[in-house]
Amino acid sequence: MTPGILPLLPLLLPIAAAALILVVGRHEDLRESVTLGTAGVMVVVVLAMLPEILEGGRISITLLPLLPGGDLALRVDAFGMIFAITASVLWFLNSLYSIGYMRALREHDQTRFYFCFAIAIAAAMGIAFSANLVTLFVFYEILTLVTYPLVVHAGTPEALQAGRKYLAYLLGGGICLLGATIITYTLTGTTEFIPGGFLAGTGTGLMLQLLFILYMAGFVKAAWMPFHAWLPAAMVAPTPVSAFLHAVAVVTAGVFGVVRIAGWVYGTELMAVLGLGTVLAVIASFTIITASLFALAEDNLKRRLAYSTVSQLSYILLGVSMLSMAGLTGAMVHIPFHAFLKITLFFGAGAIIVGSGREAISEMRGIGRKMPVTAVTFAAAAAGICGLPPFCALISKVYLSVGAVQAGEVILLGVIIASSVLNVAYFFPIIYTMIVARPPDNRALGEVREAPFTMLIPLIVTVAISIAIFFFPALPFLDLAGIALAEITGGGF
Amino acid sequence: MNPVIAHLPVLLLVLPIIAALLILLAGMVNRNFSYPITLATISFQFASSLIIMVSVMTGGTIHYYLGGWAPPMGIELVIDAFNSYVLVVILAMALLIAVYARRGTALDIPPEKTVAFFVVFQLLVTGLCGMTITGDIFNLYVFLEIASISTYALVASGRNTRSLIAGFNYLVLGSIAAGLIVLGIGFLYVATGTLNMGELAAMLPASYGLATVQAAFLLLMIGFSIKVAFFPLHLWLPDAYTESPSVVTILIATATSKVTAYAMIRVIFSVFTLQYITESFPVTEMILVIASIAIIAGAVLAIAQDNLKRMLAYSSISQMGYIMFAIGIANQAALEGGLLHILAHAVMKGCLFMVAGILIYRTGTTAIRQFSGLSKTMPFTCAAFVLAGVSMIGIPPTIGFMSKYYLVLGAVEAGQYLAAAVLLIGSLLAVVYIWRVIEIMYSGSHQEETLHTGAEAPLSMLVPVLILAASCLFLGIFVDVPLAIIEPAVTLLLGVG
Amino acid sequence: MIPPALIILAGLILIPLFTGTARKFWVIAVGTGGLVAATLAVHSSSMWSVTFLPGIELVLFSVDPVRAYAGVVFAGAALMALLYAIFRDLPAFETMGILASAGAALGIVYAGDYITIFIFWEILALASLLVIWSAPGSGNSGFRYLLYHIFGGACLLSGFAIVMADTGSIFIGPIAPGPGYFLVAIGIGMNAAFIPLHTWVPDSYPRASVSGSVALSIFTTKVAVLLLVLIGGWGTGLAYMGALMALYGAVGALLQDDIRRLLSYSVISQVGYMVAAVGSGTVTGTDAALAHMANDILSKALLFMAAGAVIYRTGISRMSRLGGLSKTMPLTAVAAVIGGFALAGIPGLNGSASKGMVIEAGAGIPYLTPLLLIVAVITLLYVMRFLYFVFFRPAPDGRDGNSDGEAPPAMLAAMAVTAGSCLLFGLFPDFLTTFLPGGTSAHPFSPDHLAESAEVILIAIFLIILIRPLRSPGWSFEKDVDRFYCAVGKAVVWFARYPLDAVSEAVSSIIGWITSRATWFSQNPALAIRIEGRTIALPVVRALWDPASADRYGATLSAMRDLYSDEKPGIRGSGYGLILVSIIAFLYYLYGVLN
Repeated sequence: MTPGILPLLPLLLPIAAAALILVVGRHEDLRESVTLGTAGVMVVVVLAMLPEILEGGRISITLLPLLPGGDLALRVDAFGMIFAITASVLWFLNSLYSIGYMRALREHDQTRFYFCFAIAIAAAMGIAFSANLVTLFVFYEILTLVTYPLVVHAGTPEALQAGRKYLAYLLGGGICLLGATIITYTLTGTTEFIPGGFLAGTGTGLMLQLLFILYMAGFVKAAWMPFHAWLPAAMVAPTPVSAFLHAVAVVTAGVFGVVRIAGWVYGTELMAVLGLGTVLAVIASFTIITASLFALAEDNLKRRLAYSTVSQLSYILLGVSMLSMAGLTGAMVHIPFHAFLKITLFFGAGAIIVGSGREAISEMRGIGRKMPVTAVTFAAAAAGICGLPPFCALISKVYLSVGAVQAGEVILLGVIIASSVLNVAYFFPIIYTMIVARPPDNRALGEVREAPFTMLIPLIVTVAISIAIFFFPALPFLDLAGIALAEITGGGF
Repeated sequence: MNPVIAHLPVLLLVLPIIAALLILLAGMVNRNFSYPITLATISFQFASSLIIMVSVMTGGTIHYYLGGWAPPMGIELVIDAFNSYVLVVILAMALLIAVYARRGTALDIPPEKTVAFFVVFQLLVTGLCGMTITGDIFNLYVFLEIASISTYALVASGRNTRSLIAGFNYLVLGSIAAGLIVLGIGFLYVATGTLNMGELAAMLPASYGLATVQAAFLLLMIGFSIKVAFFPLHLWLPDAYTESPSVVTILIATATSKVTAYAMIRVIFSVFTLQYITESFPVTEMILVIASIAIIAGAVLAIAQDNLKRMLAYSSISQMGYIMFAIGIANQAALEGGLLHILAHAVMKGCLFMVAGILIYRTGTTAIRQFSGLSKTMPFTCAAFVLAGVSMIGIPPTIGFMSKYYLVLGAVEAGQYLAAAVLLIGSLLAVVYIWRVIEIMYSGSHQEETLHTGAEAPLSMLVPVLILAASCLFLGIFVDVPLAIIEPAVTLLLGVG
Repeated sequence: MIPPALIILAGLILIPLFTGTARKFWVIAVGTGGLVAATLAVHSSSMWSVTFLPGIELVLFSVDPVRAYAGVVFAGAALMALLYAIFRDLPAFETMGILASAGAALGIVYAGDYITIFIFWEILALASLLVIWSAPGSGNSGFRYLLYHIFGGACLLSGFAIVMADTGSIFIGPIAPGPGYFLVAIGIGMNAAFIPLHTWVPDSYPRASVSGSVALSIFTTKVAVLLLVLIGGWGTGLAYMGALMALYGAVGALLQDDIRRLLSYSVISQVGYMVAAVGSGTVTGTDAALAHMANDILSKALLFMAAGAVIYRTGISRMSRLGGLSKTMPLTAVAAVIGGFALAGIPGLNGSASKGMVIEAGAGIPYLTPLLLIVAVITLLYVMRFLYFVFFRPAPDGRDGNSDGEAPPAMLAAMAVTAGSCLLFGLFPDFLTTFLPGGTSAHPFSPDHLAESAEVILIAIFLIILIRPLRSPGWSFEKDVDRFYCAVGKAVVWFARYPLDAVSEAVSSIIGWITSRATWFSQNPALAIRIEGRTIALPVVRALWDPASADRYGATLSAMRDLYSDEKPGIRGSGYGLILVSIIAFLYYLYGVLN
């Protein structure tokens, strides 16, 4: 537990950047370079902390005495690192991408856009590094609030409608989380994350079970059904925002929170004793299947992707619910793995919008002939999400399967099998339509062109990363997950 | 300590009264003199209140005997942690309002009335100070009446007739309240033979059983409930807030309501005691129930309003519910939350009403649906509104969140889970009515051109707004600063005193 | 010592760099390289393993007799298929697909553990999908193919997961009965075309391009057989499954009119032989399976090549519309005859050798031998139908076929090589059997075996003479159980599209209604209550009062409703206040008294 100023930088840098963005707002190039520069530096800073974490160390810093039960304190540990690396790397790529996207579509209010982005990433970092529930909650709410302007960026009535939904769900979840935090504090007198949990032996079983439900309601950002409606609705936002919601920060924060609660507040033993694993398993399984069915029926590409996210997130919940070594590992690594693949898909969807202005899958026949890079990378990422080689998601799938067996829940294997088939069922038709199918007629692709290369580079990079992870899975995510697990399980089951 | 500081408490009351006369005279000479004098006086009061607070925090409670007559003969001014804190809060608000008032009054106070306006304004502030620092319950009533009467006048001082009616209604209900309060005080005097709060607190326990005491408590309770517009006795509030001039609205919404709340808490916890309200005449449960209803009902009614000031008025009813909620819970955490919320609500509601005033000043309307696209022309004002609104909702790390946190914490510690849930739901409802405005302000650019002249607010109005907005944030982040004085205050209230 | 899979996969990555003839040479070079590597691997004992996940060593490359043998077989077959494919400019996707499936197959062959196998297994599925989708109009069947195989793959993974968790080892070995056993069986069975998981074979093979279907026919099913061999210890249940497959496939083939559908069912049937052999569980059984695997790859590939040549030249794939091609495409006809007779197990061709071995291996298991002999008869029947209708009968409506000439040289070369090896292994089976791990030898020319073949042939001829329909073309029965699977799939989609959607719509609309009502109500609760009260009272009023006043009542109500939206809460007199004050006072008092 070494004290250090380093964890503070990922928070302060973006905030400073945000201020700078407001100042230089008029000069586009300057503004964008500020964003990119900050993102780059952040990646470096985060990675600079990696070695110490990989040696099992932790970096912690207390900022302010905020409230009873929670100073505003940061603590970098292995699990937080997983989220932090994912978010910072993807933010860099996302910024690069959004430059291309926003300019190509001549979007309005770009300064506000980049400003909110910067604050949001700071909040995400705060969540990743938060040392206790109160800090987590603070940044969680900030994240909700600053992403709202991004969601309603279009300013159209339906955008506003979606924004209301967004706020209603997420702030509603927020107050549940606040309630849960306070109850936890009154029960235990602390909200500090302790590996292996600190709730054991406090309160009655029923109380703790209800408390867990309250926590789940709090982490509605994880978009588990039936509290998922905000996510597809938020698809009215510009694509970089969707990418940000789905991969970089928001939903990731939700599942991150669930894992934190399971591992660092309740602890696996207590979860098992209270039968919370089962509760979670039911929720997750239901969500996985139902969301996949929704995706199957959806013709709007971005919305289909949104439902796919809903189902993929529940893979993580499913992994947690197993409460077994492999299951938790799978859950932890699926966070970054899914993020890398899903952001590729959204990048692809955005590139298609820019290149052809089409959003309905049925209109994309043969589009790959005109935008090969986009189509191929999209196809690759789609195959990856389905858990096919050579992409990282296969690893988490293997872990989840083994975890299900370790947990003695062979029935969960059925869920995994069914969802694998469903994933293919709603992803490969897209690939077929884009690449294999012939365009309806010769003039159909007249106006279609490949997206600008500032958008293609992120696409290629993310795919490359997710392939690289497949070949070298240990670095760094699995190692980090291993360390985190050793923490919460006291070195193994 | 040096004589000036020693006599500050009384100076705090005497000088302003003189100043009020001065304003009048100067105003007769030239109506432009009146404003600077007001400003000067209030800044003086604020400065001295700060000094007093510091000396209280260092030297403990200050007892000041007027003319050296010790009670029960003379009148005593008692300044402890609690009321020094309230004093600073209201005077800070008063100062900002005074700054704001220079342009703020221009629109809805006819020029010939400005002198009178500032005189009454000064008297009101003085009355509030008196209520805050007096240690004598009848004296408290007197100052209350000074404050109230000036308020009636101010409310009615608007241009249109509706403000007259509103003022009249306020007068009627206010007088009922005053009557009840003075009756209650009378009963207490009958029961104990003293009017000094300290002595009352000391003597009452002996006669807790008496019906007179119970009646007294009841009367005081209801009287003050009317004064703080504690649901459902709030009927005067929406009209008064909506129809009176912006400056007045701000003043009564922040200073007056807070001081009356202070008085109520003081009477309940210092004259009567925690032990009384929980054991001898247990009303906390009842207060909690009504407060919960108030929180929800106020918010729901606020949602439906499409007049900004009226919406904020109903939201005030809901927020007053928060403070009463603290009384209903009556434990350390909850009361800390309640006292913190006095500050929080003063700051954020002050900010919101000031913004409303600016909008009237610039656009001449308070109809929410006409604010579309304001963010383009008045970025700072709208930003301030957002910040204060967010604080009203209770998003961390704003001050509004901190008080909410303590209140919920208190409720949970007291095992009142349902009440805690109500509080949280109330904050969710706050999202609805606040966000409606924000949405329109920021999304309007895509709708038809709006009527207002594209100009940011004048600096003298903008600065107070921005200060308040900023303090919504920074008081939240550095919440331990106000807590440094609040904690001793609460221990004082809950302790034997 | 380089794994063949590595060579081939590396080679396929470079495909896009070449075009035209250069690409052809490159592909052949890669194929040859693979074959060479495989042959070199036979005597190597080296082992490639990498740390895939912490604590998990993947064995990418390990050699034992079975693997060495299978490696050579698959590498050779791959080269053969590639040789066949170069008759025209190689389409990038399809060629990559063929190479990828070859690479994946070889990967599985040399893989030493479950996870590696699973990974290559999925790659194989994707590669085959690539091959199928490269042909026009193959979208749906390709999609179905993928769904089946992803399901199979997921089952395989789950099964492996159970096995790994149970045994704690990821290395291949017999599987104890239980959920793991069945899941693995389903997983492999999907590729091995167990009944009723076989429907993808006739569904997808005919839709691929001519060169594509050759490649497809080689890898997927045979690799599954190999995996069955590698795992081993399945029990006799597998043998009967094999017999069922053999029978079902043969009958299915007999009922086809489309030549490639016919061959697809024939694939199922022949794989059935191998499965049966594996199921017998003996060393001879294993050897028989491996031997038949090699021989069937040859004969079946040869037939697919011939069929492909025919379709390529005529553009027709239905026996009922083909005929007389022996005149225009004599060499193809010869190849088809060799392949067909090899398939049917005519002595002197490789099929008979290994079929004999299978039947001997199955001798230990009751009812197996007779079943397999019946299948042999049916096989001969459909082979003869195939040869007769396509090549030797006079063409329908007089035309000598619709062909414009002999197959292209590349095809002929590939067919020649394949046919040659059919003859070689037929006449001198020891060339093959010496490589068999169990060292079992075939003796196709032993008198009893010859007698066996003879009686099979005689029965077949007898039946043909006896049963007229066997001689008349044109029937085709193309329905199969996959109608049911498709129905299920459609049902799922329908469910997602209508009921599910309707439910979610309903829920959201209800919530919307509630919120809107709540807002409406809170606009002016007092008035709202009065309106609601009047609305409820309205029918009563209509019932009791006289019409006129009732109408007035209704009119005021509607007036209220109209007013409501812009009804502002006016300034109330303080009368309410007094009442409320007294009420509250009373409440407090009551409360105090009660306590």
